[in-house]
Amino acid sequence: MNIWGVVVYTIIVIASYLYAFKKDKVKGMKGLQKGWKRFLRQLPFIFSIFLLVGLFDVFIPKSTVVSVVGHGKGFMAILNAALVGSVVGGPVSSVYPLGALLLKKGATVAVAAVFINAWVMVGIISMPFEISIFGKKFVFIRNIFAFIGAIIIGMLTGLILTGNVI
Amino acid sequence: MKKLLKSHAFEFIVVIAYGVLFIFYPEKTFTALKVGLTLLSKMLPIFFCVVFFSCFIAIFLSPKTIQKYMGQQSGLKGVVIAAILGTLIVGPLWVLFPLFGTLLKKGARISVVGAMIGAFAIKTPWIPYAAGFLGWPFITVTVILTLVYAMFEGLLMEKILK
Repeated sequence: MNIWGVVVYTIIVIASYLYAFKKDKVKGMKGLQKGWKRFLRQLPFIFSIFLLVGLFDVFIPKSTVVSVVGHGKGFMAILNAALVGSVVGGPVSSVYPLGALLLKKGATVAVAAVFINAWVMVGIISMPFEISIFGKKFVFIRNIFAFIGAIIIGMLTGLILTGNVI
Repeated sequence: MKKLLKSHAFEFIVVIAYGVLFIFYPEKTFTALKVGLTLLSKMLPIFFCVVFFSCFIAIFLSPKTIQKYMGQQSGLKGVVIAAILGTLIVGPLWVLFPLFGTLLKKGARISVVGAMIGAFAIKTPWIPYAAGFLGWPFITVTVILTLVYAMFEGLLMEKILK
């Protein structure tokens, strides 16, 4: 991320809180307190996930990643990425660095995109909770759609950005 | 202590992994640490913004507000608005799924709720963070495609479930 990204985002955050305080001082204050608390609470996790990415970066050879999800692995690579992304849940803060690492290690854009999409769209771990609210049929159909969607969107992303669907 | 271990199991595992690897591969592990810390120094300011922006949205786009707003929407316009709102909603699943459930119970259409859940895969405050790792072209294409798919998903789900 370049420095301008940080500057622009900081301005957006400041502007949003200026608006918040103008509209409702109590709510604005609550937002700031909540934000600070949440930042401190998530700090150890973000710290660890970046350190883990560092480990993966140094210890996992490119050839290993390429042999599983690289060019020439065809649709199996896509399917594997979708399955792994669906099963391994977790905070979104971790999926983007892992996706970027996949790319760096030689996975195709489509594969990285499918992995990320499946991670944020399909929820295997949270399924029991989801079923308790919506019922089996709704959740089953939704997750099927999400799984297929993760693959379609990822392959189209690959096609648009690199000209390759896989 | 036990509680701390449980709630931060992931962090402890990473620390232990570093400890063990450092004994066998001191140089490589040190490089890994450097890579991780460089990443952290680059992305921490963005992460800081993400958290505060999420809290701003959470407070001004509360479940109550969404419920009130979505109650008046219907048709294709409702689906489009639901998808856009879905990208803005932030928060943990155990808060949001009940909200979606309440919407359905109060008579919102399946297409509307389906589109909202589908679009929830896009988390607007996280977009600059994602772009920091994957680049703006990648994340822009993903966001647009996900948004379109979410609406399509909502409409199809309604057809199937009705």
